[in-house]
Amino acid sequence: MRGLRRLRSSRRWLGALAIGWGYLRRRGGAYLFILPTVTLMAIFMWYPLVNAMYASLFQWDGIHPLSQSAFVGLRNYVHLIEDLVFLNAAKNTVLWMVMYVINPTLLGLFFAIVLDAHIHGEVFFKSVIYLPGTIALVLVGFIWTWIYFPEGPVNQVLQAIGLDNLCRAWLANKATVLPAINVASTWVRTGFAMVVFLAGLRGIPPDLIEACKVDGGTRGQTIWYVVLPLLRPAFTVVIGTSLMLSIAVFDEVYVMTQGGPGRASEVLSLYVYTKTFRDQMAGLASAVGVVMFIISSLGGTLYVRQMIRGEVSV
Amino acid sequence: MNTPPTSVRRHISGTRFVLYVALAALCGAWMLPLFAVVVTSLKSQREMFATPIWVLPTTPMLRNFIDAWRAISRGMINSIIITSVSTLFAVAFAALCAYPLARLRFPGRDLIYLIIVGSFTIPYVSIIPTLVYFLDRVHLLGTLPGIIITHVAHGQPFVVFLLARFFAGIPEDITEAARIDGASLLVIFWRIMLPLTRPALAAASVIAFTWIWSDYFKALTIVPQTALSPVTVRLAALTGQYTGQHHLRSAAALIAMMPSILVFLGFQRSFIEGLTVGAVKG
Repeated sequence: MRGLRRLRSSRRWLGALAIGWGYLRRRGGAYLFILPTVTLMAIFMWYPLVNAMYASLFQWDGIHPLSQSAFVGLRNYVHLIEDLVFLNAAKNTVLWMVMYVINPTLLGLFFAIVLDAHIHGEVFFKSVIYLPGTIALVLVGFIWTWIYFPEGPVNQVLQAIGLDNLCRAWLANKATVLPAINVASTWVRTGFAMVVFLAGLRGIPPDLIEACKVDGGTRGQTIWYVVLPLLRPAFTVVIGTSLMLSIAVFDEVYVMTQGGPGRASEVLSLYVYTKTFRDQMAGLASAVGVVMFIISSLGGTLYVRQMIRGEVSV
Repeated sequence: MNTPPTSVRRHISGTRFVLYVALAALCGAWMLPLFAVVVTSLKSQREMFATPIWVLPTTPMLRNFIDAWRAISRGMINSIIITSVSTLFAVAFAALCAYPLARLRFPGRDLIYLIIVGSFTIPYVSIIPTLVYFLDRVHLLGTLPGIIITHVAHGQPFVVFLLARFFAGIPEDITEAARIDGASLLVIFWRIMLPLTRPALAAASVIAFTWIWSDYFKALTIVPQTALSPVTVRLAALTGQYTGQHHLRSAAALIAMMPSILVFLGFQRSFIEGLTVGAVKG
């Protein structure tokens, strides 16, 4: 009797399985297609991220398992607020972010407006401005380390035109080091802003601009009241990606100055790097990483929303 | 398509002329840093410090390039292996993933898409301690598969987004006809979607290639040892030996930037098209 019941219920299970299998065969292809990507991202992005949030609650050396480390709660985060080295890195990063967002955006917008005049050789101009953007930041760092060298090109030019008193060791001077590195980054980043703004400008219906002209608007008025508001998606893409990239800046700073002179150009990712690999304070480094992720995703959300929203309207 | 009306082309007006001169000057200025590297890379160390940057070398020191190549050849080979394998797998997996996300209806689709594309905002630096620890645990730290698989995984958000965007643009009736004929998902994907989106696949590959080629931070933390590290890490590690030898560093930097610059110049159109997707409509 009992055996029969068990048989019947197992049959029910089999039935459910068969239905499930049939569903999977009909619709499951989709899941199989996304499986590789989701698995990889789960293992190499999402798991480390969640684990970083967890690890930030431990006094962890990055070598031993968390189970052998002391749980300290939020003490890592509290420690950060009191750590002058961290606060200095945070201050430098904020300064860096401001420069990184503003300079390439304005310069790129300017180039895009100029190039939008349908000139001959547009492709050539575009590739010249974009070209630095394809060079690895490490190599950009090398190029500009020499350019800023005390006996290097910048000072050679200044001497030649009689501005000797402006000569200085640009990367060894606390006041000039971050702006100097930012000039190199602007050189790299302007091309991206330009192509995005140019695509945005080309997407504006010409009759709108025509209508503004017919109504007696000046060129400046047309740009301010018609063009700029319609460029909002482009602004979102440029500023959103700039925020994400600038909070995590590492390559060019590390290669050009290693954070120096002193700690004048030390940014947050350098702090994370040294805390992880030199000081074996991976728990503290994870706490910084979590804070950086939160800030990055604030800027990134703008961008991702634009990416996804743009897709819907294809 | 972008050519102005003929009347404008024949008589270039005064303001146009000024615009062209200004643009040419600007492009010249924009290339100055590269000009400085090329000139420096052709000078001897003595000449580099003795003569200012605008004085061309009397005899170009092509030897610098040979010396530089000796120092970084291993890194270049590693870079080529890492970059090409990572790009191939990143685009292949992303294409598989983007197809159902863009074309099929299934439970959880929008959420999965949002999470994948949203992961674009995870900075690598945020997961360094835990990822490096994990890679060490599974014996992938300090290995080529370790860095390659990290590149593939971290490349997914953008490449999936890019390809999904293009897949969505393929007219519905083409795939519908194939489905009525009884074609399976894999056949539709392989025989219809991939051939029709070849430009998108090119754009995705080109962008992924230059990104992975330029990577420094991932390689520095995952394969820091010289035998396996890509050229970026190798070159930065040589800085100590190269103190004051900016001519050699310049030559090495020029060699190391060639692949990504050539790929960009060769595929410019699809490159820029790929980057600006999503920037226009809103």
